[in-house]
Amino acid sequence: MSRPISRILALLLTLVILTGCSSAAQPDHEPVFEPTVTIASTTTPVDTAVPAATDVQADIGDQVYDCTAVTEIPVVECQALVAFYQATNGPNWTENGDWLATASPCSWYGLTCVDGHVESLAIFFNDLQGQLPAALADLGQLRLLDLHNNNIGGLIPAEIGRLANLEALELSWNQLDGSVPAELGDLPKLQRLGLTDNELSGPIPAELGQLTNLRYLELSRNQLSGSAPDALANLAALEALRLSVNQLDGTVPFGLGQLSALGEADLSFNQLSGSAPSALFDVPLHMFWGNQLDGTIFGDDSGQQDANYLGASFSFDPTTADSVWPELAAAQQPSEGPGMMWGPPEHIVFTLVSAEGPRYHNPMGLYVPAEAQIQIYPAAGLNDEVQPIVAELKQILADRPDLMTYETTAPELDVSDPQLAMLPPSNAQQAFRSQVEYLDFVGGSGIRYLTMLSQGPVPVSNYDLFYTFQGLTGGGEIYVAAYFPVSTAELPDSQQIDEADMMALMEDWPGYLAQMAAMLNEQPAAAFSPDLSAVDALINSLSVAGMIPPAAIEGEDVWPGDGESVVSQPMLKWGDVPGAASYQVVVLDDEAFPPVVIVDQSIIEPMLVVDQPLAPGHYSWTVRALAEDATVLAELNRTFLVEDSSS
Amino acid sequence: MKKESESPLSSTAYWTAGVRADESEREDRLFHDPLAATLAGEEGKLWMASRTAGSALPIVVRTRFFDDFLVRITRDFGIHQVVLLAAGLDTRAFRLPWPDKTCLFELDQAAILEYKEKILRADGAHQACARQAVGVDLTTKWADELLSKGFDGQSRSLWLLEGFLFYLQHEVIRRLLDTVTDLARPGSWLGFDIVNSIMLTSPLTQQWLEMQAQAGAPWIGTMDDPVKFLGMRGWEATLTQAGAEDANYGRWSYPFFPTSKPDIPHNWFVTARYDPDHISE
Repeated sequence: MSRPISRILALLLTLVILTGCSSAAQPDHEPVFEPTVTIASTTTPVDTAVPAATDVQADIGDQVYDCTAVTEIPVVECQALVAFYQATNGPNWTENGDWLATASPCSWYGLTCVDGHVESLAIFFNDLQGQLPAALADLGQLRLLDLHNNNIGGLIPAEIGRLANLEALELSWNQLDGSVPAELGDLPKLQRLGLTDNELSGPIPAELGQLTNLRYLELSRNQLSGSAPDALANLAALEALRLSVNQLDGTVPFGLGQLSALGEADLSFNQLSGSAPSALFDVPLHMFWGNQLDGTIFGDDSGQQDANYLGASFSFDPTTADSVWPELAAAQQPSEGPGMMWGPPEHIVFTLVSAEGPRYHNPMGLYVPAEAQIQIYPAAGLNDEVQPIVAELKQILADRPDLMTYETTAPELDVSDPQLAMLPPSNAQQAFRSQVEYLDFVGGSGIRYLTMLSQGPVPVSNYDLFYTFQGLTGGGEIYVAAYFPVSTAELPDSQQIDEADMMALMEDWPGYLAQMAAMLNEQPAAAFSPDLSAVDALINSLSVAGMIPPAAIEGEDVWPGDGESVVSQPMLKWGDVPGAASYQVVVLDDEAFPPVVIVDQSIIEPMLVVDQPLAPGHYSWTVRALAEDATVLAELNRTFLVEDSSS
Repeated sequence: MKKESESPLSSTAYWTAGVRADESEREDRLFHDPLAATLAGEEGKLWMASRTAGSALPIVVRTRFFDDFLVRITRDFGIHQVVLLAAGLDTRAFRLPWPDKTCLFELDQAAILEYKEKILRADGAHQACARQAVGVDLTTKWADELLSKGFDGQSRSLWLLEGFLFYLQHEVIRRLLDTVTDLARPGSWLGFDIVNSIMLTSPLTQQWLEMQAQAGAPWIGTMDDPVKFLGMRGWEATLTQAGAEDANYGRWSYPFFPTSKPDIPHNWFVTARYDPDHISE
């Protein structure tokens, strides 16, 4: 998923907890030792007084470091550090304070020691280049090796498997290639293995299944292939399994569903097939889309495709989605969520996967995936604190005010006045609203607009921009919340900006936002990707009618009672339904294989005599009370039995 | 006896053999399948005994409909390759009047094909055409296996998927029919039966569906517009259903509702000709 910053923050927190040491802190004390290092350059000749390199001295290009002078840690560990510095282009690290400059390695940038040994080596966002040396294996007491977000290439040395005390190995966001060494399975204390976003290929070694203390396995965004090994089901302590955006195929190991500690399972964007183990759907955060798993609704290159799931349906084409992953999301207890109490009732979620693969997009921050989604809630089931949002939308849709008042295209127009809240709730504010329009779906209507969420001044970019639709069915039964990440050539892709430019924008922030909103407002629908009119068409086609159960035809007037025995030509009766213009009666022979419809009749009176003798057996019957416009007002579903009179 | 390695789906093969065995004993039978009783075995016999008289009529009519379809297409269009997908305990290779040079491929799980082979060999049954059994898992990749058994992708072919698709997820159906399309030369033919989604969602059928699921063969596969689905793949399809004029045989005792009538469950018989130059949008 595309949330590097938040991911890194979470990572840092976890690492601190794991190691109990602040790996990110820079040494803040003065060197206590005159360096024996000589830096050579064309302007600084080599000091010939430096002793010749021996086996305990390291030759770093023109630098020589004498590990025999180090007393804090064993010489072999010092040599490993020097080898590491050398192999990763230490002199050109962004920050290399004190490295090889003092005889106190424990004070070098990114290093901590305990009891005379290196305990953690954590240097990230520091432009480390080159390869990891096998000598790292000599840091025998190392508990944390964290080198994420650098430019380290080459292989992961198999020798790392000798670091028997290692608790966290974090090498994400580098350019490591080759395979994941099976030897990593030899790290009995390992709790975190982070190899996200490298260029690793080949299979996931089954040996990783030996890591019974592993809590986080993060292999997303590589080129890993083959099937996910069944042995992963042995990772009893696993809390997060992230394997997304690889080329894994085959089926999802059944045993993964049995991992009781698992809180996140991200298997999205692979080539997995078959059915996902049903227990994995109970994992609080699970992402299965972008595979060939059973249940995936694939688009058709040649035109419109219908997605139909549990009474909700819509039509999509390649502009809006390549495939759709439908799911029934379980109810959650309301808890202190983003900004307010939030615990959705059981609801339907369609995740729309683009042909281009996973999105690098951040439409809703931490609480919603980057892919486009349509979330469909029973309005009455939404918790009390959210109900005002529903009521407000209902009011707007009833009053139909001019939506210009909701567009924040001038500095004096504030997004918080008037409000236009949305679901699910967020702890970030809408920075602006643009392209605000009423939009209908089948049996309901709503409002769609472009916006971005922010908790502070963040430049408007394609990274954050999204289209949302918030709608209600005519009777207020169903709430529809849809999000589509959208982009336009008029905006930068990234929210990165020069500090100077940012300062300039900050001088009139409301003016800047209004100007961006006005600019977006002027763009034609086709200037966005996906084309806004295609997204509108998808929403237009949305129907949730099947989710609204019609009232039941009840009462003593209904005959026969459920399962009751009747004569072979029964008279079926039910009570009059107020407002019904006609009744559609269908009777089905339940014994036939497959069942056969034997009566399908539309009548005015609330009764029907079956006009042919029925063979002995079980029958199902339904009555639908239809209004003049064919809306179903109420429904009845029963069975009856025709007994064999000859027996 | 059923082998342990078979999936529960194989049960349906015994059931339909049971239906054919029963039908073969009737005076007004729509087909004669002397091998069916032995093939149905205990499981097929018990299943038939558990059902009320006449309840298998939809299967009887379906069997006859596709019998006629296979004979007509091979004869009228000179197609020599016939592929039965999920053939199960099908005996058409032994009981239909095939034109000369017909080669019939039976694809299904190896276990059920082996069982059938054993029974047929013991029975001394006489084939009415060349026949090749191909043990495969049709829910995964199977085309190479068929080709390796002598299927000729350069010649036209006739495909049948009878009583099968409603047991499959939509994506598996799609993959299966895409594979058929890949293997079919223009002028090939295809037949299958499929139910519409109302068959699975209507409150009317819920009890029946539950029963099927308990029997180990849940119904999950549907298609609401087979003509369009096939049209987009280059197949020109027509629909009919039991009780229609071309699928009645004077035996259909139920009322008949038009094949296109909306809002009621349908069990369609689909036949299609492959004509990729006329792909419909």
